[in-house]
Amino acid sequence: MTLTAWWLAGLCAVLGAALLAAVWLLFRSRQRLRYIDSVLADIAAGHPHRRALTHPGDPAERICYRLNEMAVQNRDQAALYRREQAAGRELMVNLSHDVRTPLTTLLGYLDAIHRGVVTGAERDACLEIARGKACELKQTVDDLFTWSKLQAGEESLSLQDCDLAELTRQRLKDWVPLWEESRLDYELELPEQRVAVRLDPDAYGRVLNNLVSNVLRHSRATRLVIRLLPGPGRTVALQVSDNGVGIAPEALPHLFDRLYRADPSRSGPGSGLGLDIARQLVERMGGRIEAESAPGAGATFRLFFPQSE
Amino acid sequence: MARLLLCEFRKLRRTRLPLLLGVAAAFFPLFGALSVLGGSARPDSVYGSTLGTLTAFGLPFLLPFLTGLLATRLFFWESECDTLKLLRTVPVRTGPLAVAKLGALLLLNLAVTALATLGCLLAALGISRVLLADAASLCGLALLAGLLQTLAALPLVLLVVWVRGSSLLSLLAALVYSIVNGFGCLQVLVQMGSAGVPPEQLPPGRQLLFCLPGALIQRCLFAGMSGSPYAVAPALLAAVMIGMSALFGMGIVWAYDRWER
Amino acid sequence: MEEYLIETRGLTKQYGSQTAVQDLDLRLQPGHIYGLLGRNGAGKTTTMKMLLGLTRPTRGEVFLFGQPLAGREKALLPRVGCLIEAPGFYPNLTATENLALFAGLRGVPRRDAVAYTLQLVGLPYRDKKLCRDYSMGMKQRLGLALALLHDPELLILDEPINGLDPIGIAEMRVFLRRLCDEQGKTILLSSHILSEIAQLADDVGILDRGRLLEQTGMAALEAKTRRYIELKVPDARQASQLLDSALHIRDFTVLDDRTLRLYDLTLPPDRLNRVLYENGLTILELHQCEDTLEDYFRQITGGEGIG
Repeated sequence: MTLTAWWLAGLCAVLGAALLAAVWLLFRSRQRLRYIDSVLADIAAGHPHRRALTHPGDPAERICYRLNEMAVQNRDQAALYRREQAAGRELMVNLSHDVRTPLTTLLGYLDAIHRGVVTGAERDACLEIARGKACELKQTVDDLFTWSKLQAGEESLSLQDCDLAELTRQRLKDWVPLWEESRLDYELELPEQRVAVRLDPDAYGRVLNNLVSNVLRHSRATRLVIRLLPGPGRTVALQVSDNGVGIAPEALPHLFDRLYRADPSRSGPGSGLGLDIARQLVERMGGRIEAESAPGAGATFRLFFPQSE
Repeated sequence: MARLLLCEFRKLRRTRLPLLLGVAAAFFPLFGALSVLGGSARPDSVYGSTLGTLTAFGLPFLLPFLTGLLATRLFFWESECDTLKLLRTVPVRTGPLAVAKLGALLLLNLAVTALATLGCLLAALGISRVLLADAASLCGLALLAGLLQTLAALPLVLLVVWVRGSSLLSLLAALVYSIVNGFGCLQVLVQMGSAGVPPEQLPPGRQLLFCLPGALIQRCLFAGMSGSPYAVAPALLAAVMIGMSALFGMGIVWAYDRWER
Repeated sequence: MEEYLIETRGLTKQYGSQTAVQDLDLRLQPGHIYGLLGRNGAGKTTTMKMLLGLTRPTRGEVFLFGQPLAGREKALLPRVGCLIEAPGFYPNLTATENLALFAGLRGVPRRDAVAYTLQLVGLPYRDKKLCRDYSMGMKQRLGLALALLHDPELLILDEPINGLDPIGIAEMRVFLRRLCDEQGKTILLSSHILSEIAQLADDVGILDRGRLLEQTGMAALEAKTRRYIELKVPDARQASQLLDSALHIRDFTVLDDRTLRLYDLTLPPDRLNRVLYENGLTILELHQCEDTLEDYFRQITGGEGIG
């Protein structure tokens, strides 16, 4: 055969091979698409954990990776949703308990008064207790309202330039008589010079009130120390320490998160929302809150705020 | 299948295999070099004929032995590592797995042949400063012979798989097979080279020997050297080899499946 | 969505005249951890091998994901991850290479599957250590990694805590529970250690001599374990006679000549005490107890304990 013929034959062979390769590639692509379709059909039919397996060099490689990624995201979101639903339900149950208990007691006292079971000084004492319970109830409902607004992002704070030291001094002044009454040994270390921060004074007041009232109500402490110190970086730290019963290590990570409470059988006054509200307010003001405690060794709460100017 | 084949090679990482193959490949150039330096042969004839020596004498001895060893390693690795259960749940069936192992076996043998050929050429270049004129066709011949001799060793592989990897038995079998094959091939060449006694007049034992696959290969490849009575047509050889490969290939797959199940 | 992820109907395996597994009707619900409990040699491993198609059953059928396994291995097995008997791996390769090998064969669900899986089980990625130098615990983890590489929906694990130290066992327990709760995987595991199954499994199957004696949820099983009153008395014979004649209680067992177990709880303990005392029998000790899973196992397998 002539050279041209050889060349021609060679060319035909090459073209033939290329054609075969193209056909094979097409066939494989269609096969892979069918596979992905079957995986998607499976997932849609109620097998959310089905994955599409692929190799590097597969025509459908990136589609498979994305598909699987989305399936994983879906699964995680569904799990998160279920957890939040469960937590929400738990919250509702606990709150209804928190409202019903003082209300029941309140009604009990009022009933006693109404039926004339108690008279004179005892009656007045009962009225006083009933009033106290009603206030407690109002506080719980107020807390719930605040918390809901914070969760929904509807609470508006008006940030102003304040002197943290002076602000703290002002707020704590009202607590002094209560501390003396409860025979709580207190120590305040607040600097004389101006500590410039940008806060909403009312919100800060609420946070401080919450921390201090927790000490009085829950900790059974005999000593309370409140300090204003420089914090890491350009922050200032407010430290509230007591020598009370402390907080259990299991409860510590969830202390500021009302939705994920560790102790389901919590008892005692207060809605339990206080710390969560405190955290949200502090964070909205650009700060940070943390707690440190060991059972029996008291607790220390620290608020960090960035210093301004 | 390509993936399975690639995996077979991955499984051979960090073994003494490259060393083994290198040694096997280096044998012939070394042998040729020694015989030249020893003065028993002239350089260009040795290397012209070393390539021929390789093909004609070396490969029939070397390849079956190598095949036996490789088969032992390739086919029993899953059993030793207890990975067959994992492979079967991929799922990979034992049939394709066995075929992949045979493929790896073939490729490794071809690699050895290629290396040996290259070695000889380099030795020729180095010692006699001559690039052999017909180097290309001789290389082609060597590779073809390598392929064919490997296929001729398939019965050995079947035996190795049949005895389920007893290394001593496999080693012995490989040795015996390679000696028989090599001896047969040698005899064929000798017979073909000497004065033309037609094959029909040979004693029956000899006739049988000359019909073994290895001998058939020799007769087909080297018949041009001696003349027509011993020649075997390429078509006939091709048919025999294909038939044999198919038969023993299936046998190996069946034996492997039976054993591993 | 069909009911069961694994279903077997009349699964039987005979080796010659010996029956390894007899008429098994296993049912595994999606999202649960199923513990296959049985002594060594009860047929747990054989059953699992049949579920994976490693052993062909003599009779009966295996259904995975609602479809028969026979003939559909290529479509169904990639959705299953398994660890059968000792973990299999290539000793001359590193963990990463082992995983990469199987990733190349089966395919992967994510680009970094090998790294991700190694991190999940706690093995180093691209480490130079060869698998032949691994400790027992690391080998077990490697086996688990090989089973998890392709993010399967179903895991079949044969004695996954085999050879692990107590800390490893606790870690494995937490790990498997997380896989089930967070990733929604369904797990079938076998063990001869009762306490582990009791702590981990949602459903239990009790296998004895190749037969599935019981298959229930863990809660139902705990309800079934019987409550009893254990009495320690100076003379069990006298006590048993008294129970029969004075109180007409017959549902009890005598453990030894000083101990009895009363399964009939209709009588309050104080009345029991009083009646026995009035008849001249002192009670040295009285406990309200519950059968352990071990007792229950012993009961339904006819006498011998586990292990």
